[in-house]
Amino acid sequence: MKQFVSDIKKYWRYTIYSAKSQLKSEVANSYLNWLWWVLEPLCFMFIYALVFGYMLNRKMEYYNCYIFIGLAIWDFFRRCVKSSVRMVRRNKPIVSKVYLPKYMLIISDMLVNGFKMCICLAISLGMLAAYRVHVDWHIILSLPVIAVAVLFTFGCCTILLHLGVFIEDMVNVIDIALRFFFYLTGVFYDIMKVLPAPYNTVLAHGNAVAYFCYSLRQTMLYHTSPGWHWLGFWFLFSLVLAWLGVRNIYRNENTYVKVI
Amino acid sequence: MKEQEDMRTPEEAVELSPEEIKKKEEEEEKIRHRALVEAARKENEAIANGLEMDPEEEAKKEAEEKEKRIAKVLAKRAKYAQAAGKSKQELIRDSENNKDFYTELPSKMKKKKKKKKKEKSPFIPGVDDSAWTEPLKEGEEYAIKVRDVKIRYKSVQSYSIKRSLLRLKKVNTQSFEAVKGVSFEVKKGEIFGITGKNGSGKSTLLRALGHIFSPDEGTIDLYGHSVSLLAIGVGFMKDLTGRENIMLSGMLLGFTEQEVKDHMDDIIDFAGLGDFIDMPVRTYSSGMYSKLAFSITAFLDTDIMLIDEVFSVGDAKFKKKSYAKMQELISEKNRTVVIVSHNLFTLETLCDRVMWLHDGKIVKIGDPLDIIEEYRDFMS
Repeated sequence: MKQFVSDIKKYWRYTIYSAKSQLKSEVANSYLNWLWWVLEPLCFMFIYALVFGYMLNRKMEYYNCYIFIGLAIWDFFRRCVKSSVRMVRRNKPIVSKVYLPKYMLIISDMLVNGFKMCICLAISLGMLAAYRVHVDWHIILSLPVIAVAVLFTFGCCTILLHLGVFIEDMVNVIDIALRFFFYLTGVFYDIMKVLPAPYNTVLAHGNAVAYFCYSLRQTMLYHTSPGWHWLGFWFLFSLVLAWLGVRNIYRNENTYVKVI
Repeated sequence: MKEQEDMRTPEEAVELSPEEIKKKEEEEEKIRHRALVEAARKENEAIANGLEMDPEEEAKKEAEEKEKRIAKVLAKRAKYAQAAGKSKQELIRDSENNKDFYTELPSKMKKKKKKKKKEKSPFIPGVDDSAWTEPLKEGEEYAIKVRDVKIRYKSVQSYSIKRSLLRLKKVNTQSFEAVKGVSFEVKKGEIFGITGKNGSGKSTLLRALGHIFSPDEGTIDLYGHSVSLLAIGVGFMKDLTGRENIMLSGMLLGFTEQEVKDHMDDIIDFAGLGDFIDMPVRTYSSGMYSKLAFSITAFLDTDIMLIDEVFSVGDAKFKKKSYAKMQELISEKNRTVVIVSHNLFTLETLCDRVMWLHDGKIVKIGDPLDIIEEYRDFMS
C-alpha cells in the first residue's frame, strides 16, 4: 500500500500531463477536432433510439436520456478494458527504456476516457434540462455510483493488463466478451421489464456495469437512491479486485519487458 | 641499394621473418594508439577543468585529421583502381562523374566467404569475479554493488490460444540466460564502461541496474541513489510539438515539471531545430528527431547515469557537439556513470575502468587500455 501511494505521488504529474497530451494528439489531425467527443455518443444514441425505440417499439419515458446515461458508463468501461489488454505492448518504447509502474498507464488511459465520460454526463444533464425532466437532490448520489464504477473498471483493467502480456489472443477474447456483455447490460432496454423474474434481478445486480447503469438512471431520472447494500458490495468487490490486480502487477511487471 | 645495405647496423642486417615483422608493426600501432588515447584523455581533462583548447592548435589538429581521412580514402581507391586496371586520371574522372567504381571490382577483390571458426574462450581459468574487486580507499564509497546477478528469459514466452488449439499440444517455452551470475562494484564518481560482443548481456545488465528488469537471482544495491537510463526519445508522441515532447520525455525520465521548464531553453538551443521546435514531431527527419531526443537526455541528470549507445546520433557536427556535452556531463566528480558502447575509443578515453562481458559472464575488469587491447586482440 505504501509503495502504491508513493508511486502515485511520484508519477501523478506525468500521468496527468500524458493524459492531456493524449487528448491533444487524438484531435490534432481531426477536422472536427474535439467535437467528435460530443458527436460520437450522440450519434450512437440516435441509432439506438431509432432502432430499438421506434423500429422495435421498445420506447419508454425519456428514452434518449435513458440510452445516453447508459452509453456514458458503458463506453467508459468498454474503452478502458479494451485498451488495457494491449497496454504494455502498445507502450513498449516506454516500458523497455524507463521504469514506470504499469498501472500508471491504465490510470492515464482512464483519465482520458474519464474526461470523455464527463462530457457525456454533462450532455445528459443538458438533455434532462431540454426534456424538462424534474431533477432533485438525488442527482448528487450519482457521484458515489460513478466512483465505484471507476474503481471496478480499474480493477478489471489491472487484471487484463497482466493477462494481455502473457496471452497473445486476449484482445480477440475480450472483443467477443465485451460484445456479449453489452447486450446483457441493458444500455438500450430496461432489464427489469424485458427479462422475467428472478433473472432480471440477478442480471441487474449481478452484472456490475448493468448495476451502475441502473443506479445512475435511478438517481438522475427517477429520483431514487441507489441500493446501498449492492453498492457497498460492488465497492468492496472492486477494492479487492484492484488490490489483487496492483499486487499482481508489482510482482510481475519486471517480467513484462522480457516477454514483449 | 648497396649504400643502404652498408649503412645498416649489424642488428638491422639480420632479416626478420614475416611473422616477426607483423608483430613489430602491431606493437608500433599499439604504441601510436596509446599516445592518441593519452592525448584525448588530456583533452577531456582540459574540457572538464573548463580550460579551452588553443584555437590554433585545434585548427591544426582538425586539419591533420582531415588530411589523414583523405589520404586513407585515396589509398583505398588507388588499391581498388589498381586491381580494376585503371589509371589515376581515369579514377579522378570517374569520381567527378559520380561513377561508383566499387561496383567494378574484379572478382579477386571480392570478399570470399569466411569459414566459421571455432569460437575461442576469453575466460581466464580459475579466476572468478572476486578477483576484480578493488578495495575502497579513504573517502571513497560505492555507488553500485552487484552480487551474483542472474537474468533469464526463461519460461516467459507469451502463450497463444490459437497456436495451442491448432497444434493440440503445449507450446514449448525457451530458456535463455542473458546474465550468468555477475558480481562487481562501481565507486561513487567513477566512470565505468562495459563492453563485449553482441549478445553478451550488456544492455540487459544495464536495464537491470535501471530497474527496468529485475534480476532472477542476486542483488543490485544502488545505496539509495537516483538512477536513470539515458534513453533516446522515450515517451515521444508524434502528433505533439517538440516543445511538448520535451516536457513529456523529461517528466518520464523522473524530473519535475519545474525542472524541465528551467532547462527548456537550454535544450531547445542545444537541439538547434529553430522554428521546428513548435511543429509536430512527425514532421521531423530522423536526424532532427535524434537531436531533440539526445538534447533532452543531455540536460536532465541524475546521481547515477546509465548510457547505452547514445553517442551515435545526428550528423557529424551534432555528434561532435553531443560527445563534448556528454564529456562535460560525465566529468562531474559526484556523478557515477556506467557506459555501454561498442565504440572502443570512447571507452578508452572516457572511462576509469572497463568491464569486458562475454556470454553473460565477466572476463575481466581493469584499466581501459589493457582491457580493450585484449578485447581487440580477441575479436580480431
